[in-house]
Amino acid sequence: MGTTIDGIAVVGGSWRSRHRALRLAVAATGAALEDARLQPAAVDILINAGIYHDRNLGEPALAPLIQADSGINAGDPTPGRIGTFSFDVANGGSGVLTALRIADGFLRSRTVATVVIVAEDADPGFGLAADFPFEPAAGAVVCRWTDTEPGLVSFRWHNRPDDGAAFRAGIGLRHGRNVLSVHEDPDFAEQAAETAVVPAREVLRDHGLGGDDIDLLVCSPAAPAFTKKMAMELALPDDRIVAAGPALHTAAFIAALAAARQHSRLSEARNVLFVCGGAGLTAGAALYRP
Amino acid sequence: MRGAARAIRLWWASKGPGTMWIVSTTERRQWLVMEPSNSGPEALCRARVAAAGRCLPPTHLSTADLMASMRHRTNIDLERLTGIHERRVSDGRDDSLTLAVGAARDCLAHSGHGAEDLDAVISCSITKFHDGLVQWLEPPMSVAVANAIGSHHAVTFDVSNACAGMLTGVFILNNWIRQGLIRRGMVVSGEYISPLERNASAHIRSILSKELASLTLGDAGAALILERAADDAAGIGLIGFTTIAEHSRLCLAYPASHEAGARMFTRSQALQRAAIKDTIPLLKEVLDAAGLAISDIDHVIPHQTSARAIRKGMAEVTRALGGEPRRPAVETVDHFGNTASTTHTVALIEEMEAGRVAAGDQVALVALASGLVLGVVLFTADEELVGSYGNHD
Repeated sequence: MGTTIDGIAVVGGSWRSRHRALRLAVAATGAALEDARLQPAAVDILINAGIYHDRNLGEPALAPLIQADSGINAGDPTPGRIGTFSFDVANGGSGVLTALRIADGFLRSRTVATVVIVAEDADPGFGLAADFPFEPAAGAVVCRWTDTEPGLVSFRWHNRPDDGAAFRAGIGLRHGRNVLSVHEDPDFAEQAAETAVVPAREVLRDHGLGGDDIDLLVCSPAAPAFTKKMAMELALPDDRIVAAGPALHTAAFIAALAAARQHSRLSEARNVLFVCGGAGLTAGAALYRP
Repeated sequence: MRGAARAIRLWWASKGPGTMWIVSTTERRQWLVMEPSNSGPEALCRARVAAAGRCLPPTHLSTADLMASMRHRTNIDLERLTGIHERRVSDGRDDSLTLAVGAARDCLAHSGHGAEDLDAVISCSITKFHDGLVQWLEPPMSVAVANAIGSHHAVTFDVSNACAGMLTGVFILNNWIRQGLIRRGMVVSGEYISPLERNASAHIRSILSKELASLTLGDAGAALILERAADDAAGIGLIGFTTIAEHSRLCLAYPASHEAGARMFTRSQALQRAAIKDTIPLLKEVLDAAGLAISDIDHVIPHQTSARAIRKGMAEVTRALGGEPRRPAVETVDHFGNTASTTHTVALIEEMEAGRVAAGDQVALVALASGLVLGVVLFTADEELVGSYGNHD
């Protein structure tokens, strides 16, 4: 019994959607639901883990807008029907993994049956960002409870607070305009990996596993400095490491999941280690048994 | 990556749509996402509200002084309209982070626990102003709060759900505690939101302005600690939430173009109409699921928007549900204004400090937030909680 990932979709931005995080998120949500063979009305909880939105929207959370534009139980309460609860989670590059933890909790308690997690980032447009460094993209996954597979079985987390020295982003006045600025230290990926190794080892220790027992490591960010460090520290050969989208941000982990699913690698694996690292520095790891 | 993302999309598209489409996979029979659910396994334990803390900036800003500072002559009688006499505002020395940290420390002091006893710290504010008026997007504010209070092993993340942020955090922590995933966690928020008020005061020209609601805002930090309850303790009885997303564009806030901070645009009357209309059946759903009548509730703490809106809403509840709570709905908006995601905790502490909450009292925290997010947290105040505010039977 456990939480399984039943639908995965990633949508890349085009010239027209490069400033439309919301539009990308809606496209990814619809594609993931279609992949899982689910109607929008089946969604109980929608969690958005994306960070950089259209016009740097501050309120409401983006998740209700994704819910509305995806046609997911958006109307007033109706007797005999179910509603949807939507909210945002922000945890840097570990946002999707954090959302998976939250989804697993509500599925495990059978509070709900279906959770959609979506992550998207795009330049806010209108000249509201200074040198936005990420490619516009969105990813979404559909999580459900199954009585036949272990699914997500374990999570671990680790923080190494650096007050934003390695990675920070904020919106503030610059030359008389409120603009988004993103700073990434050249060593960020390596520092994120050093942080992420801690929860990854804890998950392995929790289950008495060694590097040889891991069939796949699905991770983000996809920067070579991150993946190489993870491979070295966990003694994993390169062909067992799946990362995708070095220029993606929160959606990178979902892109890695999508890449892992190609050629049935995800479904045929016995032990899959999820690892994410991000600003904070904060990192998480989980064991997934499809 | 653009090419890779497209490749994945194309790969997905090539699978083609299947023939079996699942409309609903849940056994849920009610509109609200609710815990405990009607179909889940028995929880390992209950969660209880163990402690509450708040941090209020010392500066009082009266509505009279605020209206006197308006750039344009508006002739708006804001105090009569909203019932707000004054609110607390930061003079610039406090920001979202310091208010959150102050509230977290106050909460720990009332709990008898140390920061290292926390397994999770969830930061839930709308505003994340730090280093002046820079809205932090990364790193998460929860990391900074946890680090500042000395909680070095807690899982940390931020939740954003407008004014329902803290209660959304409570929903998540309650779920984790009930399953034994964690023993104790903190939900915290620091709202340095008065810069929106200052910006609005420079733009509002008439009572029809969509920025009028910004004049109700006040600053505050708030924190709650939830923990595993003893076997026979009452604790949190039920939590239910929903998002009526077709109303999600009734209140939108963006960074201001050329001023520090942000601006918020609200269609207040439409929001209030939708909230009252939808809250009543959902409140009934929660009470039915909990096996309670509205008259069994001792304290209803609604989101603090305006005294008039609270009274109008409660009158509708009384009419529709055929009864009223044992005490009038809690109003702190008159002296704190609308402190966004912190209002319920600020008001709960006000009630406890005044000695109005007794052990065994049923408390309903009612969320109403942009989204449109509606929710109810039902819990029983216990001796330890009210005792930490010096209120003993």
